Amino acid sequence: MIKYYLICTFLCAPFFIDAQTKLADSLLAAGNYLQARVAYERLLYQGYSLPNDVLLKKSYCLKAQSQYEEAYNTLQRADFFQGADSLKFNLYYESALNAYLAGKYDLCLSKVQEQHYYLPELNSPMIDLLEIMALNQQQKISDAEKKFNQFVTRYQLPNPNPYSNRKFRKLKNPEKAESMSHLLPGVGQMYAGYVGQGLVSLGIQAGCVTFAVASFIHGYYFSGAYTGVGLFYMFNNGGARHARYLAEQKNKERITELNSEVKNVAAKAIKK
Amino acid sequence: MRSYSFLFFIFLFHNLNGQALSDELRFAQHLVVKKNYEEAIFVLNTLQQNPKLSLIQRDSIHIFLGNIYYNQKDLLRSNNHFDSVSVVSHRLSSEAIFFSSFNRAYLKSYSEAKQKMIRYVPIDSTERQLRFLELAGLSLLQRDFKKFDSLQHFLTPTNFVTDLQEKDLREQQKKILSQPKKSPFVAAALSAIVPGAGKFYAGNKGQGVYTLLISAVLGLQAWEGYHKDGPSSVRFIAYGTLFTSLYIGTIWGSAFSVKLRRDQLNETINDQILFDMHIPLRTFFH
Repeated sequence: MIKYYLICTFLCAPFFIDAQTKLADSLLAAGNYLQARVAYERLLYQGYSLPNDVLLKKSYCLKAQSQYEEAYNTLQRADFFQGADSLKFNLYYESALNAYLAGKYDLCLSKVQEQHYYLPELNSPMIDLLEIMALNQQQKISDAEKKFNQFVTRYQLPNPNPYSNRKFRKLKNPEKAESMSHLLPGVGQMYAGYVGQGLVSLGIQAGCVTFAVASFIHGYYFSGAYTGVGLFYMFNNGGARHARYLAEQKNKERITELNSEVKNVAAKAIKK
Repeated sequence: MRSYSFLFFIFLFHNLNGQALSDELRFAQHLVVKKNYEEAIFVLNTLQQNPKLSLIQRDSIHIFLGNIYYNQKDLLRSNNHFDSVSVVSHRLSSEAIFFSSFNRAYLKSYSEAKQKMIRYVPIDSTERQLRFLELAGLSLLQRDFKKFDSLQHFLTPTNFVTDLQEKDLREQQKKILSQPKKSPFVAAALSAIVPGAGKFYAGNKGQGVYTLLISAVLGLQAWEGYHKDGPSSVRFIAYGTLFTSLYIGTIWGSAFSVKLRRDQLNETINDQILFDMHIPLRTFFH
């Protein structure tokens, strides 16, 4: 009799595991992400036979909760050499995507390269798009342009090519902006595209110099030296640092705009 | 036969229930080890609502939650859980008492932390050493050197868990005692004679030199205004006001910087004492 009970108990185990997988999937589908994460982690704890599948789904929960870095770390627990190619591809793609969303562009590119190396026969416009966008974020515009041209050829997309726009090809050089503002007050800000702020900076520094010169002419040497020159020195340094910051901001804006245009072109490939 | 089958199922169900709770606790431990704290808190909070939990299982849940919140630096919540642990299991209650006392020390509730340690009854030599070390650390945090000296006799360098930290606590006592005793009045008087000298005396040498330079710059401009345009000129009044404000501010700031410098030094020493109290707890309990 006990033999039958034991057989019954062992047959129950796969049934329970299957039920738990379904439960976890239904929690994910219903948007109960924390409970779904617990359910997936429980499957891993119980030694579920398809851990990569479970880790991928757990990463979906974390991604949905905007915990991109945690999602990336969860995916790195997977064995990238196990399972079907489509699953491995998804692991690479999701890793790259979460790394991109977490602002870790070097990790994103490294995962894309791993995918190209280990699964060269599998192509997807999504992963190519991620690579182009990550290169843009790293300001490697010429590399990104090459990848973009390959992308356009592969998926036979019509132009326009966003990289032909000069403002995207030539990003602002923050060091140059800083040096310019040191030599010619306000010019660094103007170079960064902020003419109004450049004029204000120029006006203030010109005022300081005027005060210094007027003080010297009238024999107020200490006032001229300390107030006039001192304030000019402070505003000049501050203005130069500000010019550098503005150039960096402008580059960020342009890259966001460029990535938006790249996404518009890539959307056509994804629709295909 | 039928009645035997019925009894078997009753036994199996009862066992499964107890087994399931233990499994769930082990799963929670797995989550804590993997640092999946959000998931662990969810599992433990759900488990806590189960009325069939034994007292030890309830205590284990409080210990897990206490440790999770401790790792997340949420010490008040951590203490709520450590304080809820019963005395059924000595292993669990001792961990809860030591960590709850340490959390209180970290939150600067030194008397409460001390009371916890005084009331605690250790059962072996290592626990005794740990207790003395924590009490010694708390005495140093309260700057009660008499108490610290009396506890030193019990701190014997024979236990690997507490050995290094005991030595370091003695070092910290030396550091506290060798701190230069500087007077805020002297600092203020020095800055009144030479602007910035009080800050230099307090130990902020860079600030002292900087203040002297700025005072000289403003003073010279005020003197220039007075010399060229007289005492009622706008230039003299403007620069004179700036100089006077800076001069008075420097005197007050110098007196304050003595206290600030002393507080900074004490803060650094206290951090090291807390570190010395913390390391043996982790070694022993985790």
